[in-house]
Amino acid sequence: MRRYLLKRMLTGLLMVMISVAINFVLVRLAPGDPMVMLAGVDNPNPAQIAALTEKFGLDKSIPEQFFIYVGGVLRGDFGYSYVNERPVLALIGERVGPTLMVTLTALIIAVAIGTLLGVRCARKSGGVFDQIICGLSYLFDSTPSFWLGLMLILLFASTLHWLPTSGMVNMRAGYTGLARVGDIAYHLVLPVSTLALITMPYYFRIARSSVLQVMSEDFITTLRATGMSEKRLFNKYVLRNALIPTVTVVGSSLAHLIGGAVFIETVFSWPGMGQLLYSSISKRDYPLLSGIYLIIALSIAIMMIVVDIVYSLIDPRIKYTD
Amino acid sequence: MKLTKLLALTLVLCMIGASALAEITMAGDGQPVKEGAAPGGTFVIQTAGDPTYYAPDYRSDDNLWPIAQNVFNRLIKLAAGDGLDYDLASSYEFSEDGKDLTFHLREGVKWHDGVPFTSADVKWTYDTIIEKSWSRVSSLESIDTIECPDDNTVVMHLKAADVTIIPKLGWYDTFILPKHVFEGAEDPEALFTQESTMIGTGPYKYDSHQTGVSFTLTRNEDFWGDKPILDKLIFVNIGDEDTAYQAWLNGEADYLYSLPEINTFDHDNDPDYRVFVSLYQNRTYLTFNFDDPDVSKVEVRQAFAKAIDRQGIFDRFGGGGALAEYFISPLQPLYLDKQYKMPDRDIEGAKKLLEQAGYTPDADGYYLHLSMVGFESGNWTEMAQAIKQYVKEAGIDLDVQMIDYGAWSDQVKVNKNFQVTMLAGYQGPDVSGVAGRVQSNGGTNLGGYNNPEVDAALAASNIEADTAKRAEYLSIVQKCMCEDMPMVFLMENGSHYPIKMSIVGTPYDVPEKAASSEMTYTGFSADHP
Amino acid sequence: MKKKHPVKAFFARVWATMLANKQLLVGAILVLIMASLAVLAPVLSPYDPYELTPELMKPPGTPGSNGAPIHWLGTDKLGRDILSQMLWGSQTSLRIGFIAASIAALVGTLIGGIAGYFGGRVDKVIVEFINIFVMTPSFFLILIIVAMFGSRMIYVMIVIGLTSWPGNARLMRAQAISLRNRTFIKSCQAMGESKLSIMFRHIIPNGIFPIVANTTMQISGAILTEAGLSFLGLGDPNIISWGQMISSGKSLLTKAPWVAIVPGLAVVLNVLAFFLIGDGLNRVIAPKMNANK
Repeated sequence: MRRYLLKRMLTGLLMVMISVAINFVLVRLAPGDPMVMLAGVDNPNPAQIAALTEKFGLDKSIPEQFFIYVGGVLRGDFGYSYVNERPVLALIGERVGPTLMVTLTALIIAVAIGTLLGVRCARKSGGVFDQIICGLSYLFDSTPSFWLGLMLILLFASTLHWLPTSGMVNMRAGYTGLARVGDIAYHLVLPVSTLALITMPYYFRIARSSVLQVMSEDFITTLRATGMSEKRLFNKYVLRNALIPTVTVVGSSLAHLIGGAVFIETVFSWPGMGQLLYSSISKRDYPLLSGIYLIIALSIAIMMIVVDIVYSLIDPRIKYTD
Repeated sequence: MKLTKLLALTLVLCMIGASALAEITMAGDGQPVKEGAAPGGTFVIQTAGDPTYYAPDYRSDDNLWPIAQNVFNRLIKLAAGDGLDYDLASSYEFSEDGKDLTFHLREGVKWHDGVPFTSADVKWTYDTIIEKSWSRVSSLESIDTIECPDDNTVVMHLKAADVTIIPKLGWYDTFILPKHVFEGAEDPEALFTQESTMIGTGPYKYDSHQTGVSFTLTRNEDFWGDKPILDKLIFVNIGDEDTAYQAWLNGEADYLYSLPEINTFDHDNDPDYRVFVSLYQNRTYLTFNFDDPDVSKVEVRQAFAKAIDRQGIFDRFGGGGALAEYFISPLQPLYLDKQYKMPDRDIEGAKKLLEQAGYTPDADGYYLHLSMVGFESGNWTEMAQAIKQYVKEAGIDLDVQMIDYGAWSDQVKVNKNFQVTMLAGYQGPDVSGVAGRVQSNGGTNLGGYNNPEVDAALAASNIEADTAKRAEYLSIVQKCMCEDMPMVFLMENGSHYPIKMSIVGTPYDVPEKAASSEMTYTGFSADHP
Repeated sequence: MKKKHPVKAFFARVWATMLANKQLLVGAILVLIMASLAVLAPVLSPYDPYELTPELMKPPGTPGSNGAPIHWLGTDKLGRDILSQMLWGSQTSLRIGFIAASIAALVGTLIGGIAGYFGGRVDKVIVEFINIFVMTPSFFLILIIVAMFGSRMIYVMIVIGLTSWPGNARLMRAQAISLRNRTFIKSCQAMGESKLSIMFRHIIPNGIFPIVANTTMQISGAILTEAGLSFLGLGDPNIISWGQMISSGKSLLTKAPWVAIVPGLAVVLNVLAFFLIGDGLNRVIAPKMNANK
């Protein structure tokens, strides 16, 4: 197991590096010179552009730049943003909070409600409730998050005036302490609902189908034959086994959610990573761009390894060998 | 340069100040402005993003600009109405030969940290801008050396007489910085990203900054000028225009960065708002690459002009602007020659021109296939789609490519790899501002339009002080633009800017005193709780 | 017992499967409707979708000027007829979905097939290669490429295709591994058929079914991705697409809500259709999951 894990981690790291390298090269091959933009496009100043190019090491070849970058990253130095002249990690650190606030809250709600509904529907599969929920799950699974967000704004903010249109806090009020928490929560309702509604179907289906699958397995039939009560059987054997797939997808789904956060952040003007990424693209802020990309790729890799471990812990049938 | 000519030019500049670069009028019923603000209050201003730096001048930073206008001062400021006003200088005079410019500074001015402001700060700021080649070094290029005879006097020795330096000092990125904060630092430029450098002399001072969320200023109790009314200015980061508009409607914000085009006329007759209508010397237009075998033909450019329905463009995208009809801005009535007009829409005429140029329609009815590259700026993608449709009717297949600004400046500005592109921009303050776009060496003449007649007329008009004679030269420029059609004008840009009746003293209300975004005189009306 | 004609038998089986599988049935009907609308767009559209009519931002049901047809779904800010744009936009949606998913299917099948069938070192290398792409935040990559290199529809299709094949490759690899030990493959090998020929003639055709199901799902994914890119302002301006319509409707939300509502509903229905088919096909493969028997 330990050897397996070590190997996974090493290959994982290598994969991330290659993925980042592809991104690194691609970005630099794209049209648009960050230094020209930095110096001010309306007021081009060749001397300043040359000085900046040298200052940020963009006069070196791309492989050279990449090795310098990797060297820095290995020492924990993700470089400085050209545009902000601040460490990339600090910039990301400021924005990761709001993004995680929306995505994690949405994920927890989606997993909880989705799984509950899934289990409920599986036990009475084919019933009216099951049919309705299944239908809705397909519907929400097919809905683009940004459009759902717009519709919720149209309904709950523009028409009913129950909830704020966007933003994270009420600026004028400038609340502090508990009032601020309440204010943020109030602003969180629409973005979280949007994200939770489109994520829920995924967990609903996983829970529903895995419960159904476990219930049809031989050992359940055998146990049922022994006269065990349905309730006990379900809680003790079915549920436990059926929840394994849910656990395994939570990690990768979080990474996916962070990727999709750019839409929610655009629609609701939420000050998160998605907006940071988008502005780093338009300003050709290479270090920031690579930094965000690297962090996301890394978290996907870590999630996958963690999932493997959790998987082996809760499902004794799985054994890792080299 | 003779002194008479110098004086004449100064006169021209004064006129600019008086006639205003932008024209501001009131829309709707012209509600009377309530006087008398209640002291105090928190004023929320929308900004499009976080400022990168905490101090100005180093690099242009659009998001710092409205904040800097309240924290820092210049010697001379350009007020919102585009007239010039004294700021940290209390007067100035030119020497007889026009080569020495002396500023007398206000006395008793203190930096926000309590250190007295002196002429040494002025010298250090300008010297550093020049030495380090900061953002607006070009505004100061006529300065040779700067001297400080005493704490309240600054003398600039100019390389040659230059009166245009006065308005330039009131323009972008020429704020006076605190020498004591920057001097002695190993790398002064690195300090610009630190909040400790936000030390100015202005009406408001730095309070706090929450990245991605807000930037807060508080009143400077020791301000040397008219006492600011508000307690706090909060610059709120709302990048999306529509969202910001909603927040403003709901009362979460008081002052918008810009009004979404779609809502331009919403408040014109609403008694709760007063609306300021401004037309800018800023025009949206198409321009062509003169190295391209197709669009370098004048018939093709004329065909574009005839094919595009300018009224249609204005109806769909006009916002607070106006229909583009002439070859220089309608805000220059002294120089506008109305006999040179953009042609009316004439599809058959456009086709005829293409046939004259030797094109024949292909199986799909297209005379030629061209591509237009542009970048998104508000609604340009949709405007490009409309243009594509208009010229299609005249048998031009226009492939539209919208790329981001970085890629666009690479492809169009640097590599000149384009046929048609779309652009807008300021063409002032003086009527000669058009030179940047039509003179053969103009900085924004992207397509390489080169007509010696235009160059000669522009050169002659620049040293001509007599308005009538100047108008004659500029008439030649307009004639050439009409014949050669290097730019096809689409729209005059402008805005409607609504201000809630509960708010008084915004730069729109006191355009002669306050600089744009300067909130010294702004407050909440005593009548409107 | 009389034997049915094989083609007839095939269709009978398909029909029976569809009847037994609600998802498949509903999805197929929806796709059929969408496809007919897309094909018939030139006939059904009351207007040229690009035509700038004088009716700007008019609500559904507004009559056209000078006896022009009624704008059944209203007009947008430029005065374009929304119904006509919807019909033509369905072509864009379907094209993007099919082409991007086909690229993903082709690449995934080839790579997965080679890995699974050839095995050994080839397999090891390819598996690691697949892993790189699995760990790549694909939407970010698409966003970066399209934003920086331009938003022509052909690029968008290729980029979506080239970033969404790993799922197919994994499925095909698993299929190939299970197939290569089957007797009929062994006998082909014994008869001296070349490896490549076996792969193309036996492994891939016999293992393709899960890929087909997954590809149908990916059509949904591609349509959503394109709509998302267009929403962020990265649509191809030469083409009518639902995503761009939603994007332009965003700023009109309070004034002309129909501009964003109508194309959004269409995206939902279109995505739903392919999603249902894909899900239905998956249920045919793994009948245990089928609860709607």
